[in-house]
Amino acid sequence: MVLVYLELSTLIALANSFDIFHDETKEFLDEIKRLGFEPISCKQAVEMDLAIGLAKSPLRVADALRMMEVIDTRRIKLLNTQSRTLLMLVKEYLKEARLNIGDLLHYAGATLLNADYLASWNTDDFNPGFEKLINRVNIRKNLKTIKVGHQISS
Amino acid sequence: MSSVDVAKQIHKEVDRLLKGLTIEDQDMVLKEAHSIVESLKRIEQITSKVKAQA
Repeated sequence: MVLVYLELSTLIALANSFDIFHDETKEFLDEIKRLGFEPISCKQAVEMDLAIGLAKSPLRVADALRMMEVIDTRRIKLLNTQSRTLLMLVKEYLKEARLNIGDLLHYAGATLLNADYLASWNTDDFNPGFEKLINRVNIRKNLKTIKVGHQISS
Repeated sequence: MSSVDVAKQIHKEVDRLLKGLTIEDQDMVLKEAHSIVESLKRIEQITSKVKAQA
């Protein structure tokens, strides 16, 4: 089974019908399902994003609830990883890549959940350059390497 | 704001919050985030139920 990891930007786009990436994200998910691939995300990373999004205002309660609803209705599996392992891997990534911990939680989640692809609309922080740095750590630690891209390229 | 801008802003805030903490403390923050989301789900369930009964 091919696992496609959805990063926060794709989940926000999916939940907001006014977002510029909403339709493309829906089409991308339809395509994933048509191909028999499975959409997943990391429970801890998404919960952290939702909690902080609410606390620091970019998200309203209604936005967070809508995101949880689409994750459910679109059958995107929110999977648990071992939190300490996740955080230890983030720490390793920080030595290699100048990225925010929020981004790295998703890279680590995708890796530990054995995702084949990581999809994001945020091409500044999720791109082939960072993919190389992340996979360097993954290879060193005998973990699965991931392919990073936005929906159109992946 | 687009989904990308919102996601970037949230990830920056997550970074600000978790940077400098020990793994143990970061782990505790993740657990608290889980509790927040669970509470939110429960609030939604209760309000939906009440609205359906009204």
